[in-house]
Amino acid sequence: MAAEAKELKLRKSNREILPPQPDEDVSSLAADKIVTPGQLVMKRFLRNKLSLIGMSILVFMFIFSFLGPVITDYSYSQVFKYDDLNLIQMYEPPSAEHWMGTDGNGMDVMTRLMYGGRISLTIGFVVVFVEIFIGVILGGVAGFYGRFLDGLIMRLVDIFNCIPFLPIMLIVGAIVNELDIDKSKNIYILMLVMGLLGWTGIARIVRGQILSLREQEFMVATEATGLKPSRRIFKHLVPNVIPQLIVIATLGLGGIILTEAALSFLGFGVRPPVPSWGNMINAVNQSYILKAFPWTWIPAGFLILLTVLAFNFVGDGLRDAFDPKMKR
Amino acid sequence: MRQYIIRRLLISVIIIFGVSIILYSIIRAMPVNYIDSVMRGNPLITPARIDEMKDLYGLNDGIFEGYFKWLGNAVKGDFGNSFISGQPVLEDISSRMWISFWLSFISLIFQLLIAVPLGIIAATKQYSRTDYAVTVLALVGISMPGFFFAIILQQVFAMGLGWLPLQGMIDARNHQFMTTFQQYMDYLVHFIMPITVLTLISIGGLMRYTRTNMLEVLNSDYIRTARAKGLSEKTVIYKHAFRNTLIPIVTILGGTLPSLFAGAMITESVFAIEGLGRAGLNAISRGDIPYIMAFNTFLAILTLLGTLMADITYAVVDPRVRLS
Repeated sequence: MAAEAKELKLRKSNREILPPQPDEDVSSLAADKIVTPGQLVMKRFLRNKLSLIGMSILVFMFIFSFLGPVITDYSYSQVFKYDDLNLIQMYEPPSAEHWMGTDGNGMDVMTRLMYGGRISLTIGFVVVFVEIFIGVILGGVAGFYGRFLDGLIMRLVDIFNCIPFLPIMLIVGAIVNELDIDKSKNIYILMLVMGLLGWTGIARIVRGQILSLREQEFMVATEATGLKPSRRIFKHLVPNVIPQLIVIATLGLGGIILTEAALSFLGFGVRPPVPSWGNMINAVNQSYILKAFPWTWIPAGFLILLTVLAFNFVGDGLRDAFDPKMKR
Repeated sequence: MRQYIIRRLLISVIIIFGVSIILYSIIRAMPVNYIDSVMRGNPLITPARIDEMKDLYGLNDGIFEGYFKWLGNAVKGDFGNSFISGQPVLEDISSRMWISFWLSFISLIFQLLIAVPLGIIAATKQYSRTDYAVTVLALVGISMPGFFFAIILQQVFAMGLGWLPLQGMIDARNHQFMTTFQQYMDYLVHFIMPITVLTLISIGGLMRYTRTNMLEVLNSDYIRTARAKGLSEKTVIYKHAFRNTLIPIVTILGGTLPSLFAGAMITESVFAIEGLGRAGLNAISRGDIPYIMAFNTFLAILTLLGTLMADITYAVVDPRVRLS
């Protein structure tokens, strides 16, 4: 520990002596200190302006949708009425009480946007997790064992690849809507199905990587030391695929949020009164409402666009940062 | 090569078989029942009559029985009659397919005309302002929810400015009195917004793809050779590099060809275009089992054909690839 601290100090002092270099490249860095691959990736990532913008949008979205509901007193399905009359405050324009106005049911749009964001982001992460879980296990097994298991799993991948995604999600959405369960719970089933349908891409990439890694010396070494296959796959092979997985997961998150929005927009995803950004746009399906009360649907659309864009910026930046061929 | 294609096609048959089993069991689990939804609220219909109707439509069969009945007929090329229109499903599909095809085909041409040049410019000026602008445009296209963009276009150009028709394919009042040329123009005017939406939401992928491939080509040795020979930058980029970038682009184009027929569900339904996608959505919400089955099987076949065509064009265009 002490030696490390000393070295750190030394490095710091070294840096102070050296004049600041505007565009240090890797070779000059390596001369005065050792850069781990992780630091290198981090450095490349932070140098990309778009990914920084993406990161800040994401931080904002997380604060907005996970902290926001804690701060506000309104609940997402609270119907506001005028005090003296028993009338619902339909389509109130933005005001001090309702920052984004109210929608056709007299509910506060701002609060619904926050809860909607919570649902969209949660769905994204859960689905990506399910996809990676299935994809890594099946892809890893297929790549490692090859032959019969490989053939079987790859045919399964082919079958799942050919199932038309949107139509099937619509049908599943219709089935889930009729199930006798709590309206706020049915989204979990949808997440599971989306994950079940979407793992094939990840399985393919994991398999392809493992096929090429399996022949390398370090894998021969693991075999020679007599490690169990499961340990060799998940401890030695899969970590080598993690950079690609992170990139796919980030880019996939955006795609899943888009799909959820489209499903909810068509009325097959998240069901009102539970809000989601997609079904908030669906709620205003007549053109005169669209025209007269833009605050009820435009913010939701822009939040979808911004969030997905941010995930794409970050994913793109990560891909460039992980790619050793990209020099800047 | 021929052997490879035959083997792939045989595997495809097995895959389609697997897909159709999954599809059928999911579809039969649907809560919407066509007979129930049509007969609902009709006081003259007795339960016995409903049961009889369900027998007639094959809705009383179990999943296995129903599936093998469907499969037996489908193998013979008979996909049954659509519950909604009463016509053979294949006729329904083939009549709507071309509307969807023209919509996506025109959009594809626009995508190519915009995405390929922009992708190449972005790659030649890597990390410049232009590159950033193209990247942002591409990612905005990828991230844009199609339905949201469609509604905004409708608000601005149809409701606000009144330049374009809101939805539909023809001007219902005047279409029949028009000359043939005017009728085509009428279609065209109605197609402007849907094509814009389709182009924007799918342009990003192609642009990124072109840029990545162009970058790869620009970093290769033969480009360095061309520059070392003293060729002008224009010749290097538009003659040597561009031709090699075309290889992967042609490949994915081969892959998209079948999917042109699939129809765009969301765009078509927002703009009320009578293509395959809108009909599919309608069939799903009303429980038209024969149509849904045929439509989804059709989509699965298109996907398989797409990957096969991509692989074949790849081998044809790039002599280094050997199919085995």
